[in-house]
Amino acid sequence: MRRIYFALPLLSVVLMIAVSGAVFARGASEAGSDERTVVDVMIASDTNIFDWYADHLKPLFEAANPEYELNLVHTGAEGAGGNGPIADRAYAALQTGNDPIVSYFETWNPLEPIGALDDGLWLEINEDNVPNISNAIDAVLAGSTGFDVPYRGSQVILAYNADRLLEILVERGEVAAGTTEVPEEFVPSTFPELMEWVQEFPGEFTYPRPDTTGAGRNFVTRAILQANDLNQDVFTVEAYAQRFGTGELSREDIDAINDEFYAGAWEMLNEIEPYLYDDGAYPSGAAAVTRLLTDEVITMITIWSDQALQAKSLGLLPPNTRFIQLADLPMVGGYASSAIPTNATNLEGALALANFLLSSDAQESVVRVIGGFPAVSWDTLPAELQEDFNDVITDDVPSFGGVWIGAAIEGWYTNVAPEIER
Amino acid sequence: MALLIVYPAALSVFDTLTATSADGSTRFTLESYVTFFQLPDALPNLWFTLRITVVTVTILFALCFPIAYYLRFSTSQLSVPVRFLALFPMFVPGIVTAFALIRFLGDNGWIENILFSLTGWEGWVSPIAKPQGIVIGLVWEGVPVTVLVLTAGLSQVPNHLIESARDVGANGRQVFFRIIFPQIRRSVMIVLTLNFLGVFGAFTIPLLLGGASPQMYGHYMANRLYGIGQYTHAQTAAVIMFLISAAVGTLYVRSVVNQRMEKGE
Repeated sequence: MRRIYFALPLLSVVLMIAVSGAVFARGASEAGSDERTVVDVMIASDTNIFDWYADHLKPLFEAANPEYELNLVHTGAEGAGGNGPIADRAYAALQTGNDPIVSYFETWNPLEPIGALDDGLWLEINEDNVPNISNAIDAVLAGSTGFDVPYRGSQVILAYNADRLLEILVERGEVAAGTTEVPEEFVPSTFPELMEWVQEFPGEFTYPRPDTTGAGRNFVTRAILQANDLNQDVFTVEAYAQRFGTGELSREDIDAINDEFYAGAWEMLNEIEPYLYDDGAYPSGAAAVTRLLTDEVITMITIWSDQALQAKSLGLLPPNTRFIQLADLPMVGGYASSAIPTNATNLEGALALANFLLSSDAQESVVRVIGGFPAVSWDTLPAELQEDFNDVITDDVPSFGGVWIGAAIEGWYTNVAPEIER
Repeated sequence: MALLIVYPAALSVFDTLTATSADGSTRFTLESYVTFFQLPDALPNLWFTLRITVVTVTILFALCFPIAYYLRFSTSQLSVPVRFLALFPMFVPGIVTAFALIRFLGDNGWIENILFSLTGWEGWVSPIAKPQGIVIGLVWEGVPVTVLVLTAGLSQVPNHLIESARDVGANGRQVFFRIIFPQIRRSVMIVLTLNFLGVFGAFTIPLLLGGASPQMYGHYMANRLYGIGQYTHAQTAAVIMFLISAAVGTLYVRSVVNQRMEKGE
């Protein structure tokens, strides 16, 4: 009996080798038989985006472009390293002239890895190589470096369990038993109101760690904007580059940024920390924080609009879950941008995919399937679409330059997180 | 191996020990280590990682040694399901383990709901978002290898040695300390070092379980690199992790080599 157990790991290794061999062999023979070329697409986003590609975009794209086959790789699975290592590999391959084994980065900031843009790793996007970029609206292009393909927008919103909130209010005697709607004064509509709400309902709100998901990051950046009089012009990519350059941040720079711009936000976030769920056990990642709402552990969380809509339509959220966006200034959202390396294994295929993503078919899918907002003008999309999704989609999408994030994460970890005493 | 591991590792070590002066020349300096340890969380996180590692390795040993001992000497039918349960975690990916534990031990999770429906007790405090959560996850992950190595070590103790010791009147304690323990000392050493290396470099479990801060080093390093974009600090953290792991790894290699030499291989 014992021998079998020792043999099991060995057996599984042999199986793995056999299976992977079979997979490679299959890929090769397919490519040979009908002459479709493979486009490797690295998806670092959350699972909903990967599923969207697998279930909707891949069939649409391959039907429209029969000469290409998409190979989707989910680098954003929890525990996987994201697109960072893939970009590093592409950069290294550029320098040695090797095949980077990647054609398309579903989301990537072409300012990274440091120096890669100057060395010509990222392809400049224009109407010649991606004709549909001419459909993109100004708000989208304003945030683009010109070396990326912004193609879907999303925004962080608040989601709350209205039934649970009502129950708490009835228990406290704030509303009469039998009330069916939460009175407006108990639902925050501005950032200061949210801060008060959190303290009024201890343990009922939390936000995830800023480095693990945008739902945490953009709550933190919203606090930073609050502490800087809602002035978005402070946090642009240009302002940052002018002052701090494009190299690696030094200790002094990080301290300067934190003292000058972020200190007020840390004060605010520290103030609400004792009132957060589990005294500030900041959950790790979107799945962990959404679970708290789903399992009715807490009342309110921050969540990406697209994930919220999708989860709700799948029935994963409590039945009476409502969404709110802050009226004084929405939480930061943004456009997810793809990038194409100049040394892409299948450059033609990558460009075809970029062009497809900005077509009205794919843009309608952005709205319908993932609850995002389109990167192209609404005029180019069916009219009933806007009516259906009017509640969540706002025109006001504040931006926060990605380059400022590093110092914010450092600042949050050293100023907000460590005060947890356990 | 030299190309894939030794060369890039050496390059990293070299990078952290040098700096480029204004005139373009390279000089030797400990600057990156000094600035690294000036980070407010570098040292606390290192202590935290070591503490979690030591606690986890100790618990693993204390938990798995009796299991392995039982599996080696028991002839009962019960040893089959025990062995299956001990090895089962090996076939469950870390991420599944983490989320299973969250649902099981977390707030409004199974344990809390079962306790509540059985006893009406509402005082459950979930360990998931605390350092204990990391320890529980890592112990769960480490059980199969620990049991396997210890059972292998124990199976090398010949039955006739134990029987002859009993024949000359040795009691249970004497048999254990005089006969069994000396023969499995190396297996114990190997299991301690292997567990240390695995736990010290763990990534998935500490990412998903435990609180936001302090962080374990694997997670901390990734955070420095991909969250904050400080390549030098991440590299320095990697070299520090590498040195500690190498020191412990040496103990492991020595145990294995000694064993082979004694066997005359």
